[in-house]
Amino acid sequence: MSRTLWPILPGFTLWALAFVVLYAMQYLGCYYAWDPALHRTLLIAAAIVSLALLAGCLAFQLRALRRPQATPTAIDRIGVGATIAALAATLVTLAPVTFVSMCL
Amino acid sequence: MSRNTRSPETGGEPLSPIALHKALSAIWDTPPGWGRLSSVNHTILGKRFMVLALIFFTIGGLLAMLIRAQLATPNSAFIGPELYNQLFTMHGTVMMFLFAIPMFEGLAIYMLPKLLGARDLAFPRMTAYGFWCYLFGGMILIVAMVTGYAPNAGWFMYTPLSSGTYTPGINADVWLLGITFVEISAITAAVEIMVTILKMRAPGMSLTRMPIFGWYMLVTAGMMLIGFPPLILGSILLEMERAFDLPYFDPTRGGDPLLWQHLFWLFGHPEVYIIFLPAAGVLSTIIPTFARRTLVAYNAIIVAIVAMAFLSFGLWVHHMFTVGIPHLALAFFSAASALVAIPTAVQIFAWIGTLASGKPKFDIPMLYVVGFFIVFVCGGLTGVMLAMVPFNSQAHDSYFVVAHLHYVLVGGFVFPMLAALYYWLPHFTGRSSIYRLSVPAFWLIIIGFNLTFFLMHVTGLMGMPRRISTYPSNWGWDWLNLLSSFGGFIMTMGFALVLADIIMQFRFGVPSPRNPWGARTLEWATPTPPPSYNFAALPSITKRADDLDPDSLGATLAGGEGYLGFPRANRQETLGVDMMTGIPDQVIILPRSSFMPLWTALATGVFFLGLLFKVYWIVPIGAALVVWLFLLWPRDLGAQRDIGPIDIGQDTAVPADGEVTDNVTWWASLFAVAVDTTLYASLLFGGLYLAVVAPGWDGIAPTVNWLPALGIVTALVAAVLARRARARNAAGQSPLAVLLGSAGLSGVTALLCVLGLLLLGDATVHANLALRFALFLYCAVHATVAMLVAGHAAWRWHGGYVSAVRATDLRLSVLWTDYAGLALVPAWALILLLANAGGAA
Repeated sequence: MSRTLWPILPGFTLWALAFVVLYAMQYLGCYYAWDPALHRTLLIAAAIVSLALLAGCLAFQLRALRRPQATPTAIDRIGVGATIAALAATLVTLAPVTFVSMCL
Repeated sequence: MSRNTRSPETGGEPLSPIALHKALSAIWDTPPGWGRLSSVNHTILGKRFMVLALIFFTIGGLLAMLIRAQLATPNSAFIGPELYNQLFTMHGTVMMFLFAIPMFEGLAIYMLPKLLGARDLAFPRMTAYGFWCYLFGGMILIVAMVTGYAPNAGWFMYTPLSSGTYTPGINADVWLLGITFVEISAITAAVEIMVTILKMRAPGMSLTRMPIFGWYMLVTAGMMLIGFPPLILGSILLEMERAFDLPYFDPTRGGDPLLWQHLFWLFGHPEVYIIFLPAAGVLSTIIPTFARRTLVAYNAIIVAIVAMAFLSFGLWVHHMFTVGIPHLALAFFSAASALVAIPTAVQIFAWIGTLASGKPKFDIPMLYVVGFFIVFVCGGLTGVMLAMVPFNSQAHDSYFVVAHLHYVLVGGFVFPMLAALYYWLPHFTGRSSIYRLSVPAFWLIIIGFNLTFFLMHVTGLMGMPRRISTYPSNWGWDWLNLLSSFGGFIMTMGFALVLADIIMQFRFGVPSPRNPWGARTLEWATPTPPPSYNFAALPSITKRADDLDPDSLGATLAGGEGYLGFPRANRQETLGVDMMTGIPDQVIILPRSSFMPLWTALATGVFFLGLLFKVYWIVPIGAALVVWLFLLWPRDLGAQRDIGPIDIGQDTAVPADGEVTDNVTWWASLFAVAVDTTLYASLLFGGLYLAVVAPGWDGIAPTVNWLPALGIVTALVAAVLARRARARNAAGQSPLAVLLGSAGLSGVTALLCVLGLLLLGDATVHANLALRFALFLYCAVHATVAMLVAGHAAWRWHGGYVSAVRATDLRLSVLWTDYAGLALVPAWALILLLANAGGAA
C-alpha cells in the first residue's frame, strides 16, 4: 500500500510538536504572568488537542490498513505501531499539566 | 540468476572468475605507494577510521589512567589542578568525539555496502574528505594537549567558564575549532550513510528486507543530521564571542550562559543514543548468528528504534535539572527520560527472546554480548533513577553520575564494539582469532570495569563531586577511590590484551573459512579479506537479507552471476534502486581514487588554523581554497551526451544516475538542506530564547535600517530566474543568461546582507545586535552559496554536462536559491522582533 517511509513518522512528529508547544506555553505563561487558572486550562486544552490529533492520526492509519482492497506493507504496520507508541508517550509526557506547579 | 560475465571490453566473451576479479580489481583498487593517500575506497577508509579511533581510544584510556592515579589516594600531589582539568576534559572529549562517533562511523563505512550488496558508498570522495577532517581535527586536539594547551573547561565546555573572561588563551578555542573540524566528518558520514541505505541496496532488497543493522544506521544517521547542528551552532557562537567579543553567552550584555547548555545538550543527549543505536545494531546482527535463528520481533524493533530516536530529543533538560526550572518543565523532561527506557527494553527482550528461542552457541563475541547485558542494564536502571528529579537533584554532579554514564557508554558501546571486533575480525583479516588471549582479556575487562565504576555509585552517594583534582582523607572516600583506581588498571590490562590479540590475529592467525560463524548476512558472501569492489556481481534479493545463504551466494557472485557482473569502460559501476521496493532504477558511476579530498581537507585545515591562531587574513584564503577545490570535484563526473538505458545484466537496462531525477546527488542535497535548516532553527531558537529569557534586555533597542531588506526582493527574483533557467533547459533552450542573472542577483543579495552587517554598528555592546549580526551573516553565506551553485551550473551547462535529461545541476541551483531566499524571511521576522525586544540602549 505505502510506497514511502512517511507512515512511520507522523505519530512521533506530532509528539515532538506537542512537546515543544506545551514547553513554550508553559514558559511564556510564567514569563508574562498569565492567570494561573487560565494558564493551566490552556495547557490542558493543548494537551487534549495533541492527544486528539494523535488519536485521529492512528484512526486514519488503522482505517487505511483495514480498507477492503488494501494491501498493507510492513511499513504501514510499523507506522501503526509507531503511532500507538507516540500516543502513549504523549499521554505520559503531558500528563503532568494536570497537577504539577507551573511556575517558579 | 543467469551468468553475465560478458565483458564489453572482450567483445562479449565471458570472463572466468579469476579474470573477472583481475579486471574489476584493476578498476577499483587503490594505487600503491603515495597513491594510498588518494584512496576513496570504503573498505580502506572504514578500516582507517576504526584504526584511528582505536588509537584515540588508547590515548583517552591513558588519560583515564592518569586521572585514576591522581585520585587513588587523598591529598595527592601527582598532578596539579590545572593539568588535571586538561586531563579530564581531554578524556571526555577524546572518548566521545574522537573514539565513539568515528568508531561506529568507520564500522558503518566498512560494513554497510557489504551488508546491503553495493560496491561502495554513495560519495567515496566525501568519505575520504571526512576521514582527513577527522584526522586533522583530532591532531589539533592532541598536539594542543602535548604542548600544554589542551581544553580545560570540561568536555561540555560550559559557559561562562569557557568564555574569554575565565578561560583566556587558546585552550577553549582548540576544543571549539578542533571539534567542529572533526564534526565535518560526522555530517558527511551521516549524509552518505542515509543516501546509501535508501538508494544503494541490492536489487530486490526492499526496506523491510534490509538487515536490521541498516535500519539502525538509517535512524542513527537521521539523528545525526538533526542532533549535530545545535552543537556546531553553539561552537560557532561561542567562538565568535571569544574571538570577536559578540556576547551571546555573557549575561552582563544580554547573553545567557544557559543558552550554551541548551544548545550543547540538544546535541549531547541524542548523542548518547547516536552512540548506542549502532552498537545495538551490531548486537541485533551478532545475536541471531549465535542463536542460529533470525531476529525476533524485527518490526517491533524498528518501532523501538524510531521511538528512541524521537524521545531522545526530548530529554536534554535532564542534564539541567538543577539550574532553576519550573516543576512542570522538569516533569515533561523527567517523563520523557523515563519513557526512553521502554523502547530500550523492547530491544533487550527481543535479543533475549532470540537467544531463548534459538539454539545458542557460545564463542568470544558472545562473551562481550553477555558483558553488555550485565553492564548496560545496570546503567539503564541508574538512568531511570537519574530521570527522577528528586534523586537527580541529590546525585547531580557527583560520582554517581560518572558511574552511570560509564555503565551506559561502556556497556552500551564499548562491549558491543568489542563483540563486533571479534565477530568481524575474520572478515577484516581473513584469519581466525587466537583464543588464548581473548578469554582472559574479557575477564580482566569486566572485572576491572565493575571494580572501577560500581564503587563510584557509592562514592557519589557519599558526596564526592565530579571533576575535583583531589580530596581530603577524612571523608570516607579513600578506600573506594583506591579500589576504583586498582580496578581501572586491571581493566587497562584487559584492553592491552585485546590489542595484543588483534595484532596476534593479524600476524599469526590461521586462515579463516569465508563465513566462520555461519552468519546469514551478505557481508560474508564477499571473499575475506574483501576485494576493493566487494562483489563481482550484485545479488538479487528475494527474502529478508538476514536469512540468506552467503556460502553459496558468495561462489555464485564471484563467478559473475548477478547484476553488473562484468567490467565496463574502466568505470566504477554500482546500482541505485527504488527507495522502498529495491527495484533497480539507475547505474551509479562512482569517482575513482583522487587526491582532491586530501587537498580540500588541508585547505579546510588552513581555515581552522587561521581562526585558532587568530591569523584572520589567512581565513578567507582558506575558505576560498576550500570552495574552489569543492567546485573542481565534479570536473570529471557526468557525461557530455545523453546515453539512455544501459545493460546491467539479468536482461535489464536502466539509465545512468545523471539521467534520472531520483539520484543520490539530489537526495544528499536534500539531507544537506535538512542539516542546514536544523542549524538555522537552532539559531532562531537562540534568538527567541535570549530575547525572552536572558537578563539585561531593558530599554529601547536600536531601530532597523530597511535598506538591506531589498535583499528579500533580489533573492525572490533570483529564485524566479533559477526556475526559469530550469524550465528553459527542460525545453531544450539555453538557460545560460537566465542562470547567470540568478547567480548575479544572489551575489547582490549577499552584498545587501553584508551591508546589513556593516550598518549594525558595534555589535559587541549587546546580544540583541550580536544576534542580528549572526542572522545577516547566515543569510550572506547562503546567498553566496546560491550564487556559487548557480554559477557552477552555468559552467557545467557550458561544458556540455547539462541537458534536458541531465539536469541535476539546475535542480540544485533552484534548491539552494530557494533556500537562500526563504532563510531571509524568518531572519527579518526575528530582526523586527529584536528591534522591539529591548536591550542595547
